Amino acid sequence: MPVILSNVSKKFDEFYALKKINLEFFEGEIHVILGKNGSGKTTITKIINGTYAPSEGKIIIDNKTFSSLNPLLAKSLGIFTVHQDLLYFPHLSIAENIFIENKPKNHLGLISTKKMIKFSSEILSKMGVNINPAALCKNLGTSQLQVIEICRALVQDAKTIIFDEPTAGLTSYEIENLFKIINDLKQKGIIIIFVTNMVEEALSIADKITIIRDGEVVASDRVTSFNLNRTISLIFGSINRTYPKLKVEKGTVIFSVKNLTKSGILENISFDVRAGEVYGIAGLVGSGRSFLAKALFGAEKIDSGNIYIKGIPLKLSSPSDAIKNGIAFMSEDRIGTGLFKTLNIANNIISSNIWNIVNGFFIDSSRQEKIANFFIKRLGIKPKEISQNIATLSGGNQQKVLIAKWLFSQSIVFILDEPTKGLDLASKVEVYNIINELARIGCAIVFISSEFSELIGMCDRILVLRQGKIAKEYSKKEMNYDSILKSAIGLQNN
Amino acid sequence: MLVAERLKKIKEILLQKKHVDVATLAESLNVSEVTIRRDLDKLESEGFLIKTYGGAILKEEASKILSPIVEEDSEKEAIAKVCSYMIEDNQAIILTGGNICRLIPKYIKEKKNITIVTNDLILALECIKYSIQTIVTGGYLIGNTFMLAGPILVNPNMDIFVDKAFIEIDGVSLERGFTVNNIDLANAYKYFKSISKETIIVADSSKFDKISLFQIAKVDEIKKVISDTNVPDEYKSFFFENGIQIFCSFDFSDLEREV
Repeated sequence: MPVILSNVSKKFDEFYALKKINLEFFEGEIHVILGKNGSGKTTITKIINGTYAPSEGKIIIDNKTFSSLNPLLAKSLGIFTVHQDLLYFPHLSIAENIFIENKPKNHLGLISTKKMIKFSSEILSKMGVNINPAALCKNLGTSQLQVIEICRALVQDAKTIIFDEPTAGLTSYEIENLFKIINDLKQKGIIIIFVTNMVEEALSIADKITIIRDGEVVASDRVTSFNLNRTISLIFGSINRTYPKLKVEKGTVIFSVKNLTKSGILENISFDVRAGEVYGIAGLVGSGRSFLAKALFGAEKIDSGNIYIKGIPLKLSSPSDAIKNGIAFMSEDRIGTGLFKTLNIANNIISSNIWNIVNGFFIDSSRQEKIANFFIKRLGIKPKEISQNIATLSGGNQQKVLIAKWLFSQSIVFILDEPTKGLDLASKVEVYNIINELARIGCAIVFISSEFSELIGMCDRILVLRQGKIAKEYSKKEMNYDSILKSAIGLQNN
Repeated sequence: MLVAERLKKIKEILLQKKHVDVATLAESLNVSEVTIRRDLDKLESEGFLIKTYGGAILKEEASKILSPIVEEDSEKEAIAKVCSYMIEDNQAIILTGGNICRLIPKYIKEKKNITIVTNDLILALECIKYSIQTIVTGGYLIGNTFMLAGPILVNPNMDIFVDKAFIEIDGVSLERGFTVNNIDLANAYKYFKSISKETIIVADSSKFDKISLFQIAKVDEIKKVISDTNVPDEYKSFFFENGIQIFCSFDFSDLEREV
């Protein structure tokens, strides 16, 4: 039975947060509500889960009509929400967190911890998550806590699950896992309501998309029939971001990838990157772009294919092989991939080329200081204190320390995987300008991103991946948002 | 007086006075003007002085006047390098006076068939150094800046039109736009803006959040700004979101020498 909103409006004082919303959410369908912050998309979910009562209109569930719900009533109708701020009890076990509202009882009517653990481990393994249900929740990361919340809904017989911007704070890998889980839930016939502000994300998971702006539905249709040209302007009104791309002369090919294949993930990926070139790789979640990024750095094993630097084939069995061959890697997960969070700025900078400044048995500390200060000045790293612990720095400044580290180890190929994700605008602008300078000194840059507009703004060519295969390569002249998006979601380009 | 002794004396006078004239030297050293001229020839060949009409000036003074080029400054160099990448073969380019623009000629010496239009005498000298074809505007010299401005800046009959104008300014502010200190310079730069396809603002980060007396353009009238990495964050994000390319230049080109 669908969940239906009929002429629903929500007023806060004189302000309409929602105006005459008519929507139907069907079983076995992923319905994405897409809109920028403050557009009213979260208000819709709060009407459905009973947090808010509508000012006007009706909610129809299981053929019963309600003028409003409350959270308990919504739960009894099988409506659950996976929140942005996950609700959990850190000092209870995973199993207790899953069964927090309906602990299984034994034949004496007492809570059965044994059953709870058994059921939990069954449901967790169905989710493809391998964690011990007896462990405490306090040590879990965002993506695992999310899974716990999903399990909690399932054990209470959820019929509708609302995901409120569930990918915030997840890495690309975790997002892929989450999407797999959501697709499984859909197969089970659950109604999925997925709230997001990202177009690329919406297109990669939705069956149906509703765009909401200023509290009104401006479009609602199946994903395939979407008018992509209008999507962006429908969501944002008009935006006019300008990327500071510097035109640089290209040299010879210094980085090549030939027929890279990993069963079930990547198939025959080939491309060349020249000195001074910024080569973009675009793709939706699940296209294999994150795997490719890691494979290029030796952090994922491939089945077949070769990677060459200046024509010489490399054998990358680990990131340290990549580093030795002048390959640098940067990702959204700055601490996880490259920086040492317990070390200070100076030690992080020298960490990949430590032999360069060893004098006898000791690190030449005055030279280390000189080098660190040089990079702090050149990259504008703040604070300017070389002994500052890296963990205290802002994302943008951590990114700069990472760049310094790779420059110091004389990297010539830079694999950038979502380098601007989670950064503020000013730091993004700095990363773009750093990319310009890397190109200017003759490095080859592979720029992987889920944000197509930044690739179009900064890249000389863009390779679009779809389901692990090359969909199309775009030259600078051919690039535009609409056709790249179409290639990425597999619609016909005409 | 021995020759060597006389040469030493001339050097002392020059070091003290920076410039000398032949007649005075001849009189005070009690030798003929011909002798003095011969002495000056010798000192010139040693590289100590440069002969002028009727006298000579100390070489180091001469070099100060002929190329009072800015001190080493890696941030300004980085800005100038980024500017140079926007200049292509066969283009006509306006470069205004200023410590950053003056660094640009040395980075474009390899490019072909470039014509520079400038209102700055030092910049013109730099162009001579690197054999770049140059047009100098008219005008009066503003104080001791070596820059030209004023109503006779450009001959209206000249009717030039350029591809790009790099305009170095004194102040950038979101409220008051791009500003300079001198009204004649402001008028000159407005004129430059009107005769170029593209206007590019050049300013190091110390010029941001500063308002000078005379406005050249409002913030939204410019599409490209080149500066260094220390531009305030507020400006980076404002420009990025409002259709203005902001280059906050980095420079990694001398890493091998420096580390």
